[in-house]
Amino acid sequence: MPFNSLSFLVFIVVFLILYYIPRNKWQLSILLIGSCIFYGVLNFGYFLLLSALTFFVFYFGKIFSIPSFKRKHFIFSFIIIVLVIIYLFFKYYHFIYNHLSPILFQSSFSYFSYWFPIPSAIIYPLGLSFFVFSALSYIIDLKRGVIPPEKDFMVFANYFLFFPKISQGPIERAGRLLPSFREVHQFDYFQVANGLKLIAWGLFKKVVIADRIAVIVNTIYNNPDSYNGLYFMVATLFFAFQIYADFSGYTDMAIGIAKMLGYELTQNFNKPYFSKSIREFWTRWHISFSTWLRDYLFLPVAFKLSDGWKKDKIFGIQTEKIIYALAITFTFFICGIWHGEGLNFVVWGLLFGVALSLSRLFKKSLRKNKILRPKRSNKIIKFFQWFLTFSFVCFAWIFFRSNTIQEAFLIIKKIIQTPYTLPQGQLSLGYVLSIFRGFGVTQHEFIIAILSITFLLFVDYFRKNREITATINNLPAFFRWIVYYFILIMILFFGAFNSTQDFIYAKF
Amino acid sequence: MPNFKFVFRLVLRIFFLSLPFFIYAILIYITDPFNILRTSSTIDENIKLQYAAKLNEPLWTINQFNIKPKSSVLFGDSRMILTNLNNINTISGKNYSNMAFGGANLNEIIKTFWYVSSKVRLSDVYFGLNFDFYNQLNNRDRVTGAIAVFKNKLLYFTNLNVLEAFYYCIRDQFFEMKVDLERPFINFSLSKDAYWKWKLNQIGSKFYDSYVYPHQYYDELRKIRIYCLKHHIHLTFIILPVHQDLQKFLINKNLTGAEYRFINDIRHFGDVYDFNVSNYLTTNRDNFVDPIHGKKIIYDTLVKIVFSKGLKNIYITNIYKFYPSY
Repeated sequence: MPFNSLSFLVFIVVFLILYYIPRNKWQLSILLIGSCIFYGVLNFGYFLLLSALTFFVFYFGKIFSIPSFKRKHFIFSFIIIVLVIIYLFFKYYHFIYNHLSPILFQSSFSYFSYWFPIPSAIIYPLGLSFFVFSALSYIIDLKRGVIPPEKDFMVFANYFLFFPKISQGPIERAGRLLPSFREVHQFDYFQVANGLKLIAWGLFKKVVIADRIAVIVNTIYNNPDSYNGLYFMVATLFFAFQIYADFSGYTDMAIGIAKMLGYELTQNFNKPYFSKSIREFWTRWHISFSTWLRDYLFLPVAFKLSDGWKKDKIFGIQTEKIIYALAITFTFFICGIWHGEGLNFVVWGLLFGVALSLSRLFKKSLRKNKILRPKRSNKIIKFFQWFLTFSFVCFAWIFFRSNTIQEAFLIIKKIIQTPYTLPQGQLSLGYVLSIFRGFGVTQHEFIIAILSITFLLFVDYFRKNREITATINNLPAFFRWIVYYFILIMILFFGAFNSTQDFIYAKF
Repeated sequence: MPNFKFVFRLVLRIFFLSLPFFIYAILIYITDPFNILRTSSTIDENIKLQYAAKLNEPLWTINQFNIKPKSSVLFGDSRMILTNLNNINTISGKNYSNMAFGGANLNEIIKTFWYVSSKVRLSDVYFGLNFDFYNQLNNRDRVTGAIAVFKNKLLYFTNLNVLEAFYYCIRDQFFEMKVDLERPFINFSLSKDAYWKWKLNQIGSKFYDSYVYPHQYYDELRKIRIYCLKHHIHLTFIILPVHQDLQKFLINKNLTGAEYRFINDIRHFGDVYDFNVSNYLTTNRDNFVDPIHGKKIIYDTLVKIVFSKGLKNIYITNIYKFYPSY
């Protein structure tokens, strides 16, 4: 039941009415039933899997509250291994099967082939990775003593199966979100109204921007042999905004729905394309995931490495920098693999890992250089920093969007080798039209896509660090209603409803 | 229980916010500019034809087919529209439906074909194609959107062309304010010669500046061929005539080889009538409105040759070439 479907609209209206009727513990039961229906209608089998995992984590998590229990470390490792194995099985089964099947079916191992169901029988459960990330953080935090184990299963199950976040996050920490499930939530007009505004804004990003751009991006990226570098430049640029609008649109809707129910979810995006460095980009992009990686992967790896290295310098480089480089490269390598099994995702992750390592290694020498690091307020330098960061991120998106690593290199080659010259050396209307014919959409649709991206950037720029709802609420009533109508008209008349695409991050 | 004062306030605001959209939906329901809901006689049919049919040709054309489905169908672009349907019906003795629409490309034609084939049992299919269709970079798609409207009627109310058509229809019907949607935005004050040259350069550049061989279309046409063989559908391709000045563009862009390959490719899928040959009809500017759109004489000749049974055995004349399918 995607958030941008009519069935969800019906579901949420009915659910809200039922949710706010009781003012006691029944509310939590209704919320759990709602979450079960939301996920269960999608795939009942996988709903049972997530329910079983919830019970598993709850039951074993309780052991951490027994002070006399001595095999906590063993239980901790057991839970982690079970969660990781289940995740890896569903995530990489297709990949492993495809690579093992030639051996299994053509050799003396053929007996074992009966053990492996065909990949089409194994569908990746929606939101499994987000569930596993939450579960891992819960268990690790228990082990670290950051949070106490949850004793109420109803509260615990609601935290894990909370339908606004179950399919694509944000990845919430138990310490932050879990306590709010212990409260009874009353109807709050402003919360619900703000939630509705966020949902509308998220829907605008999804159906007006992301789904419209998706047609252009898919047309070009799915035919890598047919297009030249100019098309790929445009498609890559569009993809950068497609994935941003798609994922941040989903997150806005998730936060909005949670808000309507009285819960606050973490902000996942904070104007990522205004970043002036790769480091800054990752503090603004998929924040709940990047902070998860920082706390549960990067820092433990870095601490582990620093335990083993006692020297201050290795080959004249500070050990601290080497540790950072290794830990961050490893973290982004895992980040790449998490996104997909293809080598293109590995390269995508490594690109960021290497870039961050290099920026750390040369940080001091860059700061000392007066040409490269003049006054911070210099607008030209700021623009240059933004441009470099944005170009690098777009370059990395080529690997992310390409279907294979070979295609990614072909696209890069085309972008470099295309002679960006005009026929007969002049720009004619006919030439422009001939270019437009290849995007798979009408000229009007192309222009709408560009205008809506501009609008998104405009809003991002002017809302500063405030939430979009706060920006709207600060407007006088007359302008506020103009904004409401504008967003609604855009969604209804400019939304690409006939080419609705799945949310990109649903497959991760 | 929730505080009803606030609930009522919220519901009231949502109601006021959505009220204009409900009113709009009711108006669309009453006027039905594209005749898709088939509910209304408020707007004159000629007015609808004047606006709706021009604002979204695929939607209009497909809906016309849905109203009166026929087993003999013509597909193509504006050039195919210019073939006189009454003439075709009289000469062939069959009842044809013209599913051609302005600015169509092969991608849209293929999608329309599959839609039509899902609605009726086809018997005769004519594809009006030209080399400029056979280009991977010519892939704009308006048909998917149009078909989506028939699958989900709610999309009809949110279609921008429906809103435009509604606006123009209301203006014309109730205020007699007519709008010529075909009038160009730029006011040309060019001589006939200069206009011809400008149009020639524009079309030539648009058609032939960017060319990529369409493997995808080849595969799609092959699927259509298989489908036609399986269902005993007679599939014919007509290469429509363009003025030879435009043909020179193709030569200048070194695309004659690609054009030959195009003819050879479509011969794998059906009989081909090639009217794009140099002769007294295609070299005379007086026979053309612009370099791609011919006048009545051109299309009448074409219809006579393609649709009259007696002339089918003439293989090569100076007017056309006939390539039987492989």
